[in-house]
Amino acid sequence: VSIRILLAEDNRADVMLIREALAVHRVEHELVVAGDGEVALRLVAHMGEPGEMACPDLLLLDLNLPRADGIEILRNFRQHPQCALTPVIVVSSSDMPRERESAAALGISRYFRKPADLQGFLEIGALIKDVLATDR
Amino acid sequence: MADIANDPGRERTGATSWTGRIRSYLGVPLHKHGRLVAAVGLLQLTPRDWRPHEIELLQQVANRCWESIERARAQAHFREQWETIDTALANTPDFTYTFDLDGRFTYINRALLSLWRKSLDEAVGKNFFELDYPPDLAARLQRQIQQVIDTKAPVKDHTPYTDPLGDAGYYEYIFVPVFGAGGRVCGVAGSTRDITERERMSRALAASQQKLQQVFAQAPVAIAVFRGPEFVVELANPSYEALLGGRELIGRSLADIVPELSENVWQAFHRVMATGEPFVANEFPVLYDQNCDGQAEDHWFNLVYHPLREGDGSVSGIVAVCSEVTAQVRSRQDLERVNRELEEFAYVASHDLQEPLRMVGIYTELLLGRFLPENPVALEFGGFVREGVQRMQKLIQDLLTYSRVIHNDGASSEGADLNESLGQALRILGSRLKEAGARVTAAPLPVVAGDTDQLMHVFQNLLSNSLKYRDTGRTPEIRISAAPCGGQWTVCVEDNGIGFQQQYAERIFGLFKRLHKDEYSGTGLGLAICQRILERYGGRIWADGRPGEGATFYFTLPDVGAQ
Repeated sequence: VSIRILLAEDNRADVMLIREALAVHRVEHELVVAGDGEVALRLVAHMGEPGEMACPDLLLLDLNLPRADGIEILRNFRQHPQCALTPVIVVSSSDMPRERESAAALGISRYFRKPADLQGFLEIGALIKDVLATDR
Repeated sequence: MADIANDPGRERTGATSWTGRIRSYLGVPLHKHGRLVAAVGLLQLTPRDWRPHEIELLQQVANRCWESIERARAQAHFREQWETIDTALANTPDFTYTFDLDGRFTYINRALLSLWRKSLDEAVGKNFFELDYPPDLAARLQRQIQQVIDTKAPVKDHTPYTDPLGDAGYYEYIFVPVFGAGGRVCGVAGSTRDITERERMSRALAASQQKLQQVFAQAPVAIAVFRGPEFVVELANPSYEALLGGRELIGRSLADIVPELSENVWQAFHRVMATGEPFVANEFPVLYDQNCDGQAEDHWFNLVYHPLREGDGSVSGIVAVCSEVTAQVRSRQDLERVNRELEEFAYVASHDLQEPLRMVGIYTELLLGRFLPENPVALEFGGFVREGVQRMQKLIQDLLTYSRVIHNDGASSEGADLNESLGQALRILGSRLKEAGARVTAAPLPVVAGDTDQLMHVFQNLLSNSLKYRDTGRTPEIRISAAPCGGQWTVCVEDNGIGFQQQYAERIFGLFKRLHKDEYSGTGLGLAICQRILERYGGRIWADGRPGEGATFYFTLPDVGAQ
């Protein structure tokens, strides 16, 4: 079974690491990448419409995106009738309590702080599997 | 009546044995202001025809007698009056006296006589010189008496005196002319009053007014009094004038003086006038052109607008007392801005600085793992990259901790329980302590001023130092104790590590200062952070060390009650 994942991430190096993690942990997936906040907002706005992206099974969201605020993306995502309960993992390199709180208030499964070592980063694959098994 | 026998009214008079013998009499009436006041009679035992000159003579004798009686009566009356006046004057505390035209005393009341210790007879007829007044004063007084006689006008003056006890006093006196017949001056009357008390009070009043005036003029706060619905300045001290850039204030209305004044001041003024309640504000912003350069700017004041009430309770004006706090407000705003910028810096440091580092670290691993997995040199180089990245990350994190410590104030009024701080630090360092086989002994610690978490940092840094610089030849021992000292606690962290030379005892607290750079890892921020934390809460830190004999770190913090 292929998992549809929407990844909002502007850092191409991190996109690649996530792909790597999904591969290492053998997560069958279709990945749609929004490379900046604006693209992510547009995708979220039209999810499920004919000719547009289907509603994903999981949102991987970097909160620090250019051109749109990650929290706003999350809010819009939650307001979509089919995504109110879809699991969301925040993937962030910062650890601002304020960001954590506002994300938590909108409902997220995990807050994954990007580790500085390869092994640590690849653990996100296991995390994704775990979330999909419990929260979906 | 020549012969009483012929008197038809004889029966009426009622004859007595002796009246029966009288044959003739002569009586004359005495009229005064048309009223019969008396009669004089002459009786004879023989009949007599009274001659006109005899009647005339008797009339004159009667008149004289009456005059004598009247004079005697008048004298008695005058004496009584005089006694009355003298008694009255004797009992006033003022001195009362009169002079003749030669300036000699003709009357002196008892008060003055008793001051002089003289009787009336001793003093009357003498002038001031003869009464041994100081020559200057006597001359002045005699001259003033003459002036009253010459000008027919009163003279009023005062003079200082020294009483027998040596105390200084003041007399005020007045000499007035006494007018006799025809408007002629016939003497001089005077009275003297002791005005020492009055003078003292008025001097005291003047002095206190002067003091008030000084306070008003020199007060570092600006004070002004505004009157009426137009708020006309009645009074303003130099501080107030300075606030308005030296504009003319007195007698002008507020609108006239500061046309650019911001609306909030007007609202406050009108509210005080309407409600009679004082208006009190701190850091009240007022927009106006303080230095008169055509630019209105915000200024901040701690101020009170207090109503001035009339006798009937109505509010007739406002006393404004202001002190400008613009500099304080601005510097606080600057500080807030700096703090905001620092927070932004912290964010940038945590995110933007660590991001590229993360990339370098992870992709170096990927690169080496994927393309040069068998190359030992490449793996060694990779290890250096990893070490560099880790060190850089630690540096960034320590710098962040350092800046947070400087700017965050987490202290609660209950203070920090050092036992809790130490406990947390021991838990965090648990595995390292175990690894090193360290023995930690801690005495009960006090509650001090500060923040439990930040003081945990202090213990963590000191313990971690002790572990880092342990002597590998023996079991690391760390002893923690505390002793009170004059409102402060001195906490002591003692180890048996490699120690250091005392000459470096101060240097080790500097930023990025490391004594053992090559052999030991670290950023050189740990002790600087400790120092900052302790200084924040009014404490300090220092160290004693001897190479090979261990190091002792001391820090002080105020007792929680002594904050």
